[in-house]
Amino acid sequence: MHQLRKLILIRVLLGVATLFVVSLIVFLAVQLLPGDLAQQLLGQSATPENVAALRAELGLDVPAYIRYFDWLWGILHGDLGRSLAANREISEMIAPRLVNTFRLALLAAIIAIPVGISLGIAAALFRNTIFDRAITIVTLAAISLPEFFVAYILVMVLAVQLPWFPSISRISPDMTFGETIYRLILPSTTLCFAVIGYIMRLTRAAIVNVMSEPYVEMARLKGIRPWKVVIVHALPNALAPIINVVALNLAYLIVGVVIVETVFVYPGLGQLLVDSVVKRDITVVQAASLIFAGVYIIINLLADVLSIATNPRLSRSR
Amino acid sequence: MSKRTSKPTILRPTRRTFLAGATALGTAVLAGAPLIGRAKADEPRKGGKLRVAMGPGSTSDSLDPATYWDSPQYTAGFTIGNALVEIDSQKKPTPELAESWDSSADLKKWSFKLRKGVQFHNGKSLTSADVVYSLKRHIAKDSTSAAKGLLSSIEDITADGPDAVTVTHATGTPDLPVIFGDFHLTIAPEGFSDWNNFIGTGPYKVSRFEPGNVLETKRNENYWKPNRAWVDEFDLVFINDHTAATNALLTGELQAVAQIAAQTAERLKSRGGFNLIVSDGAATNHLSMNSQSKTFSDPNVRLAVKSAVPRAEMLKFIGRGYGVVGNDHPIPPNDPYYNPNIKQREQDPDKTKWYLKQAGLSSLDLDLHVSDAAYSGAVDSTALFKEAAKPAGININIKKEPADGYWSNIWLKRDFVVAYAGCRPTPDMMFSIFFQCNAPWNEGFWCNDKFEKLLLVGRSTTDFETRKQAYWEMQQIVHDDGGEAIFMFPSIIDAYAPSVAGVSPDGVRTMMGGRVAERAWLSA
Repeated sequence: MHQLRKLILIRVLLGVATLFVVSLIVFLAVQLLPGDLAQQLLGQSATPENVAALRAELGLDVPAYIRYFDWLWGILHGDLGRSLAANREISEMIAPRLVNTFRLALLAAIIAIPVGISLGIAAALFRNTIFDRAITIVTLAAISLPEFFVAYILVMVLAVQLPWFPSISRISPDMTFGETIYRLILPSTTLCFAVIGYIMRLTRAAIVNVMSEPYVEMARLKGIRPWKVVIVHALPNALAPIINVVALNLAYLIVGVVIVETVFVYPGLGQLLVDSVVKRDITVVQAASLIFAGVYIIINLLADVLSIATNPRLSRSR
Repeated sequence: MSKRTSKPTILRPTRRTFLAGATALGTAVLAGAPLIGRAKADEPRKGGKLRVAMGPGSTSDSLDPATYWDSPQYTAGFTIGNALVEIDSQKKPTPELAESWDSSADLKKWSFKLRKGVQFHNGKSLTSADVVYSLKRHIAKDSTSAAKGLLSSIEDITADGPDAVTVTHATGTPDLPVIFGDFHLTIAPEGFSDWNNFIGTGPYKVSRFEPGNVLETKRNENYWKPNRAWVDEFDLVFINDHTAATNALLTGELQAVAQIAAQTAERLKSRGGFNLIVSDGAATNHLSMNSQSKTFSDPNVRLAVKSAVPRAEMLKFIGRGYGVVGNDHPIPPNDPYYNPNIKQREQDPDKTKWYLKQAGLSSLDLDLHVSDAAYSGAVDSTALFKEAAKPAGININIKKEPADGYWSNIWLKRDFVVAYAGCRPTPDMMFSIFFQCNAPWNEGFWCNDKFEKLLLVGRSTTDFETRKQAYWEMQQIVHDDGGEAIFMFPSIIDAYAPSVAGVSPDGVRTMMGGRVAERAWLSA
């Protein structure tokens, strides 16, 4: 276990270093956006003096590297800063949307991960049968369809034709837990379409790969039932790649859902990021990007640690 | 988008909207709705919750009136607050928080008498100090208010006792009351700055505001206007995706959607049961030519382009018939100052060729910059134009530009662009914003001495006939010489569920000029 702890420590330090690099890249990328907030805010009434005055007021006249270190210093003290366009604390803007984004991602993950893995196992178990081909085709088709298309089809069928679900996912704090979940069914189903295919395909491949190992053959020769061979013998050794694909898809569910947010009018973090880029609200763009990067890094870190933990060989010193 | 919010236009019912209303009534009768029931439904009744979808909204929105940049934001403003003046269906200023007004003979000093007994949501009585505070914020030296330009000629706003304010205008204008009907000029208590909990004098109180998501309000039981504010709760939902908004209307999640696309209107019409409110003359779609550039400095070239635009096709295919054709000047046919005597310019290849010949050219190659940021369907409209102009000897090279930054990097920067402009409530505003020599938004980079003189004539008097004469002549000048080919006034279409009553097409722009909350009611 000592080895594992050391490994985790190294990965965490590397994660922090990655975040630092990301912060630098984000800051530089934002500087490259044409025009700035002062111009955007003043619009047509922008005279050079006007723009200069507003820039000074917003602190945009300070050299970029000083602003970067100010910003970094703030972040290190847990202060995300203030939105320049909305003049509100960024943490106050991001917190409720972050909760919404996590809620949707979690619901989608709760559906997609078990379904994806089970389908993958089933496909591996019955590989090269009609069943295997059928779910392969269906899940691949689901991946290939753009999200907005899936979303609109779901809305058309399940909200407009059959009035079972609301077509937009407006939620408010006074709704019950059940109602909130009910309103999230369509967007999370849309997201499931996008990720189940990957999870299923990779689970299947990983298990099929393990199934050709001699010890599996041994288990079979012992007369163990096929499904037990898969669950007890093959699956544990196929977990590492499965954990990785699940992690990648989890990250996608959190940072890549702006289209689903738009179609279902769901107030998540993606829309906030898009709005802020359009408005050149750089402090919010920086904060949101950093949070996304942090989420990616944490999830990948977890995935690495988990796959190492499930495979003792990987944590042995070489 | 934020660059060019359209300004209030109020419209008289047109033939089409009247017909639409009549058809709706006919359908209701055919559908077997008992007439007695209808009569009852026409009586305003209290109660219920009205949910309206509008876009665009942004997470950086604020309820601060100085930041309002499009219709959802000012609709929020008129839900919570009032202005001194309300613009009525004939584009006329009528009293709101100001009970009456008066001006000096030179139209420079204006006195507004405030209504007595009006209270803010927190119980504080409205006084002149609140008005002075709320208005002066926009003209302060360091103000970043979107209304700063509109008020640039206002020198001072002072209290005249507790119930009146005096406004000093630098050059004098007969349209000052119209200016004070602008949606940025809603009134808040003196010293107020907690904008996301905006306390106004309006029909509804804020209960929750999530920028870019929703504004939830409850009725102000103490509202000073009689026979207004019928529904108990009013929600303004900010939806940027048109399809999502339409679906929500279809599924009954919402009772109204503002500014639906013409295609959507046709679908809703064929589905039936929805009330479409069509407002004409709210904006212009046009091509802007830089009349100081080498190509367009010859008026004959500008006329050649104007004669090459296929106006009827534009209206048919881009506007789907929802709109009226433009005649190369910015005053819509339903404006009281519209000049009906100018002959409608039509697409005419022979004329285009003739004008080109006058300019010493046999053909003309032009780069036309466009983005759908200008208006929905803008790119398609350039394709139509390109095909129509080719036989007349004008070869259009369409330059498709990114929507992001179109108004800051392309518009007013390139010599030939596609654009839109929101119509203003008075011809003076329209002309001084878009046509006055050296105005920052003078898209044609166009100057005309006679036009400038007439502009001053229009500002010098409150006499309708004198002003009409000036504005008629100015429309002719812009039609003949201006740098803009204004080919269409697209309509604004709002869609309401059948349960919503009390709505009319003659509002100030969309959603009855943002006053849907206080006017609409829900029939049982």
